[in-house]
Amino acid sequence: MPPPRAEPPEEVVLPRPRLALAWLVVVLIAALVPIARSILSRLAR
Amino acid sequence: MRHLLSLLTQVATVVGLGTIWTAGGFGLLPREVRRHANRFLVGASALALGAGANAVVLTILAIVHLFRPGAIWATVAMGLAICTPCLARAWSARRRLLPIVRSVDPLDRLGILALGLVLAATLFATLAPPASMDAIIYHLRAPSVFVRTGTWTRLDVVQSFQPMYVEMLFGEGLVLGGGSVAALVHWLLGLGAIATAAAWGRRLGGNAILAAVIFGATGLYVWESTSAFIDLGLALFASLAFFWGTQAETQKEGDGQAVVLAGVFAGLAAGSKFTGLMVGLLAGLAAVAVVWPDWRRGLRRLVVIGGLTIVIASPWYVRNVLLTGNPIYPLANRLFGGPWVAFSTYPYGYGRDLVHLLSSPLDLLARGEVFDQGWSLGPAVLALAPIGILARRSRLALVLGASIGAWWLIWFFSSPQARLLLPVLPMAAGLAGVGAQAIKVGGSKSARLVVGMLLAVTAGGGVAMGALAVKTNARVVGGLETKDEYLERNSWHYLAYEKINQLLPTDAKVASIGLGHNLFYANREVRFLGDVEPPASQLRGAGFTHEIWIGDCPLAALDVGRRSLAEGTYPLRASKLLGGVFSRECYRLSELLPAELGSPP
Repeated sequence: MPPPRAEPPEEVVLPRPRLALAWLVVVLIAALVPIARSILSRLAR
Repeated sequence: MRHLLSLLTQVATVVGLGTIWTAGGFGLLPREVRRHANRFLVGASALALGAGANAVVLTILAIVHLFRPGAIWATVAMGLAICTPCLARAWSARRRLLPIVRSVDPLDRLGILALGLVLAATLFATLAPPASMDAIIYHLRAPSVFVRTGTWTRLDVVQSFQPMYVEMLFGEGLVLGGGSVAALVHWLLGLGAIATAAAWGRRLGGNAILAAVIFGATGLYVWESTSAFIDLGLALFASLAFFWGTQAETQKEGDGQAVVLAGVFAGLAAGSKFTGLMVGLLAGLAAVAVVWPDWRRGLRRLVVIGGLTIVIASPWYVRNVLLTGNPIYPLANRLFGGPWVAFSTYPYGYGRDLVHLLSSPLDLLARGEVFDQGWSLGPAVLALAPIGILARRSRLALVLGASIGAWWLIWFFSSPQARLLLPVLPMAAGLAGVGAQAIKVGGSKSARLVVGMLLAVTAGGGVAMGALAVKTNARVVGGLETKDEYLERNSWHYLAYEKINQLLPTDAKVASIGLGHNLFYANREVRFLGDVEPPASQLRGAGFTHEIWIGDCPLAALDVGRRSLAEGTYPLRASKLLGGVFSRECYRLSELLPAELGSPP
């Protein structure tokens, strides 16, 4: 039996680029919330 | 100089163990699998198979009351003898085995740098004496008690009824080099889990380096790999179970080997934590889904994976039946005719309704404290994995997405702690690697910029947590602070346990009342009995000779039948965010007096 292939042949295709960008921005904002909160609480002290 | 030598010996020990397991596992892999083009997969599978086989052997030793230093050293010697020819074979195939990074992409280089920093920081920090709570309550205490008694003795905390294949490897580390080597075993398994993330990235046609970074260069990974938990071992086994379970997609003929490997790894996952049972179920269903509509073939695959999962994990579930009558004790204890038993009483998450389910990925990041530090996951995997599923447009990607979704549902409605997502995170990171690749190829400049920021926040969290771990542990690792000083600062109640070790005879049998259940550092036979102090006569009758009582200050007056040997108070340290001191505790170590001396006048 030949060793199995590792790589899939097809290229990846980005569907709905604008929607993808919107999703990325939403997640980024969510991730920045605790960082912003931490900076603000340090400044408040 | 002696200290440096000791550190080097500890690192050399875990490197030696890793070499024996990987070379041995490489020898156990079928020839076709050893020649697989995905080198990350071959390396991770070899490590996991070798470590898993070793854990099974150690468990058999515990069953036959031979889990003692001599037999464990003999196991290591046997492993060395078995792996030596495989070592030569692996060495001759090193060019194919070791993944060679040829990428010149600047983002990849930054990713490799971040991952390298995290691995170096975690390796350094893990050389400190283990101090994380769960580790000293049971992940390390259980194997240390097993080594002392020679068998898989029943312990006094409910968590000790979890399956314990990874803890058996910790037991080997304890015998070979002590607590730090045991903790480094977990670090080593984490390295394997990172390799599986890269393997998923490569298989799915995404960016393997970024997949490894998205899984490994995170705060969650740093926390885990420095903590002597077992979740990275579980992630390694689970990731490989899914990988080999879905392998049929590219390998129509002779998928028996892949399915057997999937079953073996699912069994090791189910033998490492109750949640590993879900790995067996979901990997089995994924193995069916990738060959659908050929349901006959799918059924065969499901039976093989399910059967191997049950057989390989069975010792731990049989142990629970023998000890408690319930294979998954303390879960669902009423179903097995017993009383309800609290397992995790902390209400993780914000609620169990549909709105909170839908918002849970964002809640994890934005307000993740109630998910036990959900932010530590990093945003890259949550942002890019869904895009990877849509961009890949293959059945495999859909099956993986459905598996991760099912895991998420079970996680959300059971115990939504961030680290319980780890078993599906390597494949999610592989999909995220595809998402990153799709944005790189077809995304706008803004999208590429946002992806860069997501990766920076993710890896920044990992590097920052790594730096914090180094800062906390540098003095003790560097020999500028003693082990006792470090543990008095970082390990709750250590001062009280020191008194046990200093004042009590080696054959003392101690009852622990109140808060003292993290007993790894108490080098006597100690049993945790809960909050209520029983009468001295009752403790005496149960064979106890001493009592340690730890609780909020002040403690009640000394009761009859006891003579105080040592009393004191200490602060429970907490992070600066919590004000530096969590609370102030008191302890009293007493001798239980014989009945004629203990009765009131």
